[in-house]
Amino acid sequence: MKTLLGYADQISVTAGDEIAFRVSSETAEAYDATIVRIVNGDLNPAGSGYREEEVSGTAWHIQGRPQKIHAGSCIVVDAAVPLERLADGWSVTLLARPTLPDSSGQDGTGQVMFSLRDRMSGGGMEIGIKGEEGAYVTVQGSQARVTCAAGVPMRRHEWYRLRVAFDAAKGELTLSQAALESCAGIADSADVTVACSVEPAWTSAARIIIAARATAEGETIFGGFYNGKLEAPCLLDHAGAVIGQWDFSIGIDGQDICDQGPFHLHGHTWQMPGRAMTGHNWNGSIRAWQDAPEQYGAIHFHEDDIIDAGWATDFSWQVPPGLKSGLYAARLRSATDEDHIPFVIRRTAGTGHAPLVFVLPTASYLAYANEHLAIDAALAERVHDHVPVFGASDVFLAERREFGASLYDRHIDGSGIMISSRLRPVLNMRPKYQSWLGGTGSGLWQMNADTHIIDWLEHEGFDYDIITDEDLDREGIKALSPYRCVMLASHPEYVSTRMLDALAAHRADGGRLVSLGGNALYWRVVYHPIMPGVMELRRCEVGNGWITDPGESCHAFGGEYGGLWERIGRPPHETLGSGFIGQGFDKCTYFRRQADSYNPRVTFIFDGIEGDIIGDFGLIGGGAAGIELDRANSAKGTPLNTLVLARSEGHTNTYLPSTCALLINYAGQGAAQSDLVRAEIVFFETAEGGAVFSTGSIAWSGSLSHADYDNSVSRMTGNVVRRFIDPAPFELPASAARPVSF
Amino acid sequence: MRANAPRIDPADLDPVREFRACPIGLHSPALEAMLNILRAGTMGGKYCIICLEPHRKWALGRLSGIRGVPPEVVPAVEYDDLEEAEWDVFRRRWEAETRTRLPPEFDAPLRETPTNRAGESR
Repeated sequence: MKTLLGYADQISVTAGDEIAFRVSSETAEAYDATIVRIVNGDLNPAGSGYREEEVSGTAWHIQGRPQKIHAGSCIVVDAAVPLERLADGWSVTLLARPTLPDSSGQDGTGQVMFSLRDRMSGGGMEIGIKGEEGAYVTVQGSQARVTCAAGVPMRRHEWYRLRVAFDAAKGELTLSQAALESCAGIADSADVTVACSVEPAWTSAARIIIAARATAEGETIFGGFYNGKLEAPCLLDHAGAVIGQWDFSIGIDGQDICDQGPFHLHGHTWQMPGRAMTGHNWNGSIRAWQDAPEQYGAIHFHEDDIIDAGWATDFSWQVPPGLKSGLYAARLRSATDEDHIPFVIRRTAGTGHAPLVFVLPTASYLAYANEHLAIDAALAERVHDHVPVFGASDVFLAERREFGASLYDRHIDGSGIMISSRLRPVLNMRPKYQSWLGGTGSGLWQMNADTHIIDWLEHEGFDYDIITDEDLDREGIKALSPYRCVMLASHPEYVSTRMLDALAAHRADGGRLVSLGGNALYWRVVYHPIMPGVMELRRCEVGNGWITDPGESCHAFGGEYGGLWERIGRPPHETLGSGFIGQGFDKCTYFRRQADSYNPRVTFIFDGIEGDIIGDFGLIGGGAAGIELDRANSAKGTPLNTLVLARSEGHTNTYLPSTCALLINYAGQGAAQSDLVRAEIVFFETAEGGAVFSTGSIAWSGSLSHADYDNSVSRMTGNVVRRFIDPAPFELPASAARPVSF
Repeated sequence: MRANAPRIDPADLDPVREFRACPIGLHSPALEAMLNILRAGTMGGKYCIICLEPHRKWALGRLSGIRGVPPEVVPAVEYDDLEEAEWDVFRRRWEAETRTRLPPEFDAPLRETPTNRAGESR
C-alpha cells in the first residue's frame, strides 16, 4: 500500500538552485529523506542490480502529514458582484453541452454550471444539471431553498440554451432548457416556473464560480463540478442590464477569463479546463481557433481535471556545487513505505562540459504519467499478449483517481486527457517501478527503462551530462551547443517544436546524434508558456487511446496544430533516419546484420562484433529488438545516404503496424506473417560533418548490461559513442546512394 | 458469450498444451483464436495479476470494471512464478468458457523449480 507520495517543484536544477519537495504521508507517519543519485532503477535479479548513491550531508527527519488533492476544474471570478443590482431579481443565460448528463454530480447534489453563493453559508443561487431532472436553478435563502428544474433530462453531447430568472416582486423562479437541435421522439426542452418566496441569502463575500460551487472547506476547495462544455454565461439584473458577460473566446491561450460587462468581473481558470474548444456555432469550416476565435467560445470542464496538487512544501534543498550531473531523487522512507521523487542535476554553467549529453525525455514521462490503460481499457491484455501485472502504485492509482491520469487516458466523461503535469505525484516516473508496457522480464518503461542507459554510461566510464526535455524546450540549441554528441533515450515519443528545432540546430553545427530507443520524435506536444511542467497534447488525425474532436486539433497553448510530426511535415525519419512502424509488448527478439553493415563507412561500429546476430538477450522481453520499432523509409525523409545496418526478425503476431503506417486494414498484418513490422538499426553522415545512429527499438537499452556489459549491444553502442564524441568530422560518401524503403 | 462468437471445443486440447508449453511468445493460429475468445470478457471481474514482491511473488486479482474501484486480490491464490500465474488464469478462463474441467495431465505444476528468479526474460 502506498502511504508516501510526493513531487518536486522542479524537474531540472543546478548548483545553487533550491528545490522544494512536497509530500503526503497518508498515515501521518514520520519519514526520513535523503538525496540519492539514481544509477540503475531495475530490481530484476537477472540484471546488474539496483543502484542508488546517497549524497552526503542530505538527511531530513520529517513528521509527515497527509495532503489532499482536490481535482476538478472551474472558473473563479475574483471580484465582488454588485449584489444591490440584483435585489429586484436577476437572470442568467448560458450555453451548455453536457458530457455526463446522467450524473447528479460527485456527491449527488448536482453538477453546477454557474453559482453565486456565500462560501460559508451557501446562501445564493446556483444553476446546474442533475440527471433525470435536467437543468435546475436553486435559490438558497437563510432558512429555506427553492429549486426549479426542467424535469426532462439533457442529452449527452448536445447543445442547450439555458435561461433562468428570479423575480423578487412576483416571487417566481423560472427556467428554460432549450435544445439547439431537437431530436424526434425525445422531449428534452422545457419551460418551468415555480413560486419562490425565498430570496438568495448572499452577502458581500459571495463570489461567482463557473462550473462548480464554493465550499466551506476552503477558499480553493470547490464542489459540485460540472462535466461538459459551457459557453457565454451572462448575468443580468432584473431590468435586463448586463452585470457580467464572460467571453471564453478571449484569451484562449491563457488562464484569464474576460468579463465584457461594466463591472470587470474578470476571473481565472482553476486546474486548467480545456480551452480552444469548439462552441455551439462552430460550423466545420474552421480548423484553427486563431482563425475564428468566436467559434471557439467554449470551455470543457471535468470533475477530474488536475494540474497542480498545490501541496505545501515539506523540505527544501539547495543544490551544492560539485555534484555530478545526473538523475537524482529525494528518497523518502517511513515505517511502511518508500518513495523517490526524481529530478535532474545539470552541470553548472562555466564549469566545463562533457562531450556527451543524455537527454532525459521528461515530456514523454509526462505523456505517460499515471497511466491507467490496463486498469480502464480492455486493450491491454491483447496489446501485450499476457495478463497485466499491477504493482502497489497501480492499485493505488486505480482507486485514487484524483492523482490524475496520462495523455493516453480519458476523463470520466470519456473525453481524452489533453493536459498533463508533474506538479502532482507521478507514480510511474520512479526508480523500481515496473510497467505492464515494459515487456516480459524487467518490465521497465520510460524513466526506469532509461536508467539502463545511465547504468551503462556509468559502467563504461563515459563523461556525460544529463538534461531534460524541459531544458531543451526552454533553452533550445543553447542547451545542446556545449555538446558534440546528443544521446536520446529509450522512448522519447513526445517532442515540442522548440525541441525539434534544437536538434536541427545541433545537426547544423556538425553535431552527432545517437538514439538508443524506438518510436522517437513522434507526437507534437506544447509546454505551457508560463507554467513549467505543464504540457498539452492534441492527439489528432490518427489518435491513440482517444482522438481529438473535430475542429479541436490546435493546441490551446500557443495554437500549434497537433498530431504526428510526420503529418506536420517533420517526420522522425529526417532526424533519426527511421520512424515508428509498429509495436508489440510480449517478447523481444534480435537483429540480423544486413549487407550495409559491411560498408567501410561503418567498420568502426562493428569493431569486435562477431556473427550476424545482435542482441538475442536482454532484460526487456529477452532481446534487444522489441516493444516499439522504427524503420527507415526514404519516402518519409530517411536521408539517401542512410545505411541499414541490421534488421530485426522473429517477432510474434502481437507485433502489428502502427496506425500511421496502416492506411487500410487487411488480414495477416502480424509480424509473424508479414515482414512490415521490423526494427532497423540505421546510420548516416550529415553534410555538416556529423552523423546519426538510431537503434529503432525500445528494448535496446535492456540488453546493454548482459554478460557483465560484454556483449554485442554494449560493444556497438560503445563504438558509436566513442566515435561520435571524437571531433574528427564525418564525411559524406562520394557516390549518391539508393533510396531506402520497404 | 455472444451468439455469433466461435466456441471453444473442449475436446481440442492441442492449443491448451501449446499454451502450457509457451504461455508468452509465438502462438499457432488455433491458440491465437482461443486466446482472443478467452480474453474478450468485460473489464468487471476480469483476471489480472497483482505483484506482491517484485520478481518474487504475485497474487491473482480481479478488475472491478468500475472507475475508482481498484482491483481486488483473490484470496489465497499466490504465485512465485509469473508463467504459472499466466497458466492459472488461462486455465480458469478455459474451464469457465467450456464448462469443462481440464484433464489430469494439466494438474502438475508448470515446472518443479520456478525459473523467473534467475532468467532474464522472466
